Amino acid sequence: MYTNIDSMNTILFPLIINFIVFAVWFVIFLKDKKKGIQAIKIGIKNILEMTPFLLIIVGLIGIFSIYVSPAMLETYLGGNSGIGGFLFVSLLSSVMQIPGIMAVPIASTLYHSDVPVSITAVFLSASTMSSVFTLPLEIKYLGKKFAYIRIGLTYVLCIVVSLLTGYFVHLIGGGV
Amino acid sequence: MNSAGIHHKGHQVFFLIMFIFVLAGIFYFSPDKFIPFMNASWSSFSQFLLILPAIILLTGIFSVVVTSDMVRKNFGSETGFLGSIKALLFGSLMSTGPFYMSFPIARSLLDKGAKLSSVMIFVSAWNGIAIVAELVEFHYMGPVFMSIRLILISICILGIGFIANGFFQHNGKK
Repeated sequence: MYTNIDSMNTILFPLIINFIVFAVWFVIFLKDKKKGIQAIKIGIKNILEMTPFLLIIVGLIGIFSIYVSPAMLETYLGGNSGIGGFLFVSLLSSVMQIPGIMAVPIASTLYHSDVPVSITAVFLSASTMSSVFTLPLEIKYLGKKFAYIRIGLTYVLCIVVSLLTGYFVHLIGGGV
Repeated sequence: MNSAGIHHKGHQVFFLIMFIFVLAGIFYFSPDKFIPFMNASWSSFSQFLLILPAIILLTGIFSVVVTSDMVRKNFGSETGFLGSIKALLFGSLMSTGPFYMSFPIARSLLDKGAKLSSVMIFVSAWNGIAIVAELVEFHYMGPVFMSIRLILISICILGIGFIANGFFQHNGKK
């Protein structure tokens, strides 16, 4: 219902991506066996660290799809929702901090329903780049001024960038 | 690292267990929702599994090849536009660990005398255009959306650096 990606793309893209990355890794492995093996170890460790969070996100997408119908999304965030829907999503996503890898599957759900592209873009940009949750940590390391200026500028520029992204994607007609 | 909240491994496991209980509750009272739930979750998760090998290798490759030493050596040497571009690239490539790692690394860059705009670009690029996340985005959203957003966000991050520099030059240091 939400995912209507071409079967071609779902198989072909990952195959190509996996192949290219594997080729790069193989070159590194040939040059330095130790480094190659260490790369795999670090990669697996990173993924394992994220697994619980990833499962929660996947579960939330499932819950989201049974309780939120495409018609509801269309009503609250669709073309007629105007600036309100856009601002709501932008505020919500700048409060949260979601690592890019996990924000994308959620954004994809929005992208493949009738929600405007600019809303998808603002969700993706604001939720990865600006975060009120991590503000204490940022202040601790980099100072109040740095953190406030960065998050303030990020929020404003994210809105501009997302509107432009929506405009250009419509212009080029980018489906998946 | 308490303020890391949900991103901490122990907290994550705790939240996952809580979440499973909530799910169990939902499906106990409305069992008919279980099949649609599994379908939607699986269709999203299977997408992820398809590029999982690439994600694992790519995060590993960059943490082995792009070391923090390499980043340190390259910061502060150039102050102009090239320095900003370098900060953008390193932020994106270095971004293999958890996001909150970017703050201590940025701190050490500032202490070593890196330009403030470069450090801010580094932090924003780490979170906003992480190379692995861009790969996942390419896979889920297609090349058009991904490349348009990548180009615009990169310009935006460079802009953040330049504007922030103005703020700091007006009011002195930190």
